Amino acid sequence: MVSSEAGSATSRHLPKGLLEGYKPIPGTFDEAFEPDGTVRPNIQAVIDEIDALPSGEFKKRKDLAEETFLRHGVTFAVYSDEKAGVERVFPFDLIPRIIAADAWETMEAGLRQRIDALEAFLADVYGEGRCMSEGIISREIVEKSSGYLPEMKGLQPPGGVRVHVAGIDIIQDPDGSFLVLEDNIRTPSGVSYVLENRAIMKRTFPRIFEEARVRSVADYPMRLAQALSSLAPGGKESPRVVILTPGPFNSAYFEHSFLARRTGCELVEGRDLFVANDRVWVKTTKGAQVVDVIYRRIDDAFMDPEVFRKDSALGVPGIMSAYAKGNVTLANGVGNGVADDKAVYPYVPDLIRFFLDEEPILGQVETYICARPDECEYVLANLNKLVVKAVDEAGGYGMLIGPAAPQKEVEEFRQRIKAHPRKYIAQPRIELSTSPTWVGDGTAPRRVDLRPYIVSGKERWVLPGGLSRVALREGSYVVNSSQGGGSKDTWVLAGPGGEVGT
Amino acid sequence: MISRVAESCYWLMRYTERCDTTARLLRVQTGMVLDTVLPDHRRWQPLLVVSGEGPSFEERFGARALADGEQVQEYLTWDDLNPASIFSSVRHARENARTMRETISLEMWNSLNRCWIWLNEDDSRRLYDADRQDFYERVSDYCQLFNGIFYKTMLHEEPFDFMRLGLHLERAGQTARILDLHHHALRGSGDVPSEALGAAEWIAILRTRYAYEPFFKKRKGSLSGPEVAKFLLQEPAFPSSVAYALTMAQAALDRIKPQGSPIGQRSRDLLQKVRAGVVGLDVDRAVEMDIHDVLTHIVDQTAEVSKAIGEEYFYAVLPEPEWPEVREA
Repeated sequence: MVSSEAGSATSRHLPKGLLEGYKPIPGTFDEAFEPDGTVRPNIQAVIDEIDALPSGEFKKRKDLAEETFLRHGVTFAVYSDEKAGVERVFPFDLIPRIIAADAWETMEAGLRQRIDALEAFLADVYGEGRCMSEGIISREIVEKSSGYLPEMKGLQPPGGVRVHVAGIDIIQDPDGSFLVLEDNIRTPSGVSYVLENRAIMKRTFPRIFEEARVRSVADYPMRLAQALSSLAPGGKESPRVVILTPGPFNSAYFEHSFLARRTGCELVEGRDLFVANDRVWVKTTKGAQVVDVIYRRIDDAFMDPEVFRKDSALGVPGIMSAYAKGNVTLANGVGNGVADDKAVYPYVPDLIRFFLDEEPILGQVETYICARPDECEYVLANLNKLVVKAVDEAGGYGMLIGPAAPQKEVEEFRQRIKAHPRKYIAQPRIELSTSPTWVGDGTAPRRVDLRPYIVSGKERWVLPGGLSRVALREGSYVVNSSQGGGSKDTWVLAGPGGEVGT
Repeated sequence: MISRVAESCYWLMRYTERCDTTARLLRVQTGMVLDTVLPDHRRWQPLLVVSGEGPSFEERFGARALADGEQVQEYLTWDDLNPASIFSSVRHARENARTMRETISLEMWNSLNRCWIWLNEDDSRRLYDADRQDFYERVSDYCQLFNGIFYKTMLHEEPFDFMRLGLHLERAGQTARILDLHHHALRGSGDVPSEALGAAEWIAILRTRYAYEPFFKKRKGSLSGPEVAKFLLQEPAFPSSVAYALTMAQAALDRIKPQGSPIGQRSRDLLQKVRAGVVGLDVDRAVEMDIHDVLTHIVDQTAEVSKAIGEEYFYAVLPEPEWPEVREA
């Protein structure tokens, strides 16, 4: 048992097997090893089990796992390939990333608090606007955000929730404290990989898995379905809940399909739906039927060509009027993008204090806002030390990593920032924590981040763990799958006497 | 169920059934070519006719290629520009399946995806080069495994009914087409084959539809053109007879049709008509008159049923809405 062995200082030692010779990167927090190369005591039992695997055996299991991914069609579509919709397997590292029970407790509390505050912020931005009139955040930052939709002003979402599914990106700094790097509260993706990775790990390492007492993630689809159903317009019993996808060529299509299977909801495309009498209907083989709740995996801009982008063929004309009348629940809420805007991010700690009257539990990364002249000047003077991000881009695009970038790229960014300061923020480069990762002939430290998922209906629920992304290239800081990243299973250990779950 | 998904269910099974038919045709033909002396134009061209791809083949490769067995097999097996090739059929089936994985069972998906992965690996090509007949058998095995998994793992509800509807309409059409290939021989006119070739041809037709042993169980020793035609058209106990397949399609369509609604009336009536025509057909007389016309008519009528199903269930034009007010609880 992990917990019983954890405290014993005498059993601390260097790895002798799969992890032999593992050297943490100086100045970087390694999640499994102390700087001197000994195993961290709170997760030692699990690490010892992994270390004990012969490397030939490990390779064999790795091949089996990869074959299973392909066979199950656990793939994502890549846009950049010549042929649209080519399917790829998301690279997966078999060595799990381990989070101790007490660390997770703090994380969970911090995540709940953050979502409470972002939910309150959205209600306020589209309602009274107190946070702006009381000077917590300027009206300009809010209203110039590309995610801010004036059409949503005064609109009460059915069920009163806007942030149904959140994915908050977390990193660990060199001290090992968890910091929020980014909020994703529009349509965060990746949870299907969490569940598939787990299924594969259980098959690949059944014994280690059982010994470790890892908390279950299997509840997710059920929790999602419950949350969505609980918010149907008029509190309707057994509502019709559908998942709206842009279609099979979307990069996250596997996940849309996966969630439909696991929740039992129907998977629909925009062309399956239409609006009449301010209601949303689905075309079925028995005629049209009313839809109550839509978990939509389509961006705001494409939802309704009558209101937003006129050229959108993915959405449903008239759906916003049905939403405004309270006849359909949309998850996530429309207009959420203002709250996960990178230009709003620096204010989140103040928003937590303002709306909840609490101190933030999770720290976040110091951020310079180029919209502010003095901070912009600092950024321009220190481009070689900073990471610059475009406020309205995601997926690792539109980003400059100053310390690693060629001078030409740095100069390009300098011009772009000067031209559109509002579009950029900058942060010091954090030495992202590392986790032992298989690199073909042994293990080595590779940088990771974590995206935990929070599901909110009438109640809030935090998935124990989340998607750990790993920068597989040596020296890389970029974990996005579009930029050579992979994923790992995240094992949150059950505390002493704690439940593993279903 | 959602109309778009119903359409995918229907087509998924048409494609897998088509794949099995093509593989089986090729399997039997490659064997038959070894056994018998056939005039060049009767060796391979018929296979292109069944798939309806004769003209496009000729356009791409020229008329002389029609007698080139390797070319025809390559085209019907691997060509991704040929929509009826084995490769394309599996790809289309998988594409349909991928857009509705929430509807089909996980086991169906895994089985179909395994077949697709295999076709894309060197392994399948090696088998094709080394042992053609074994290759085609493997393809058919994949299709039949898929069918078995389908029956056992799907809920027997509406999606299942649309699937078996597609499967049986495809099967009925294919049996009629394959029989039609041999209409000259059936009538005993035109380029009449020798006695021995006649028997080999009937046996080949039967084997193409997995009907060899079933035929002799039912019609002991009476191998002749009209008997084979009767069996493949009307035998009520034989799963690939046109009558059997249409009966199964009709059972599926009866379950699909919503009660007390005009939706589905037309396709049901059409299907009933074509089935009644097949069951009541005087085959001996038809063989004497013109079996080709009769078979063409069956194929056309089956296609019309398919079209009506599409119009009524998949792309119904919704009337100007007068939707009922929905009362809040």
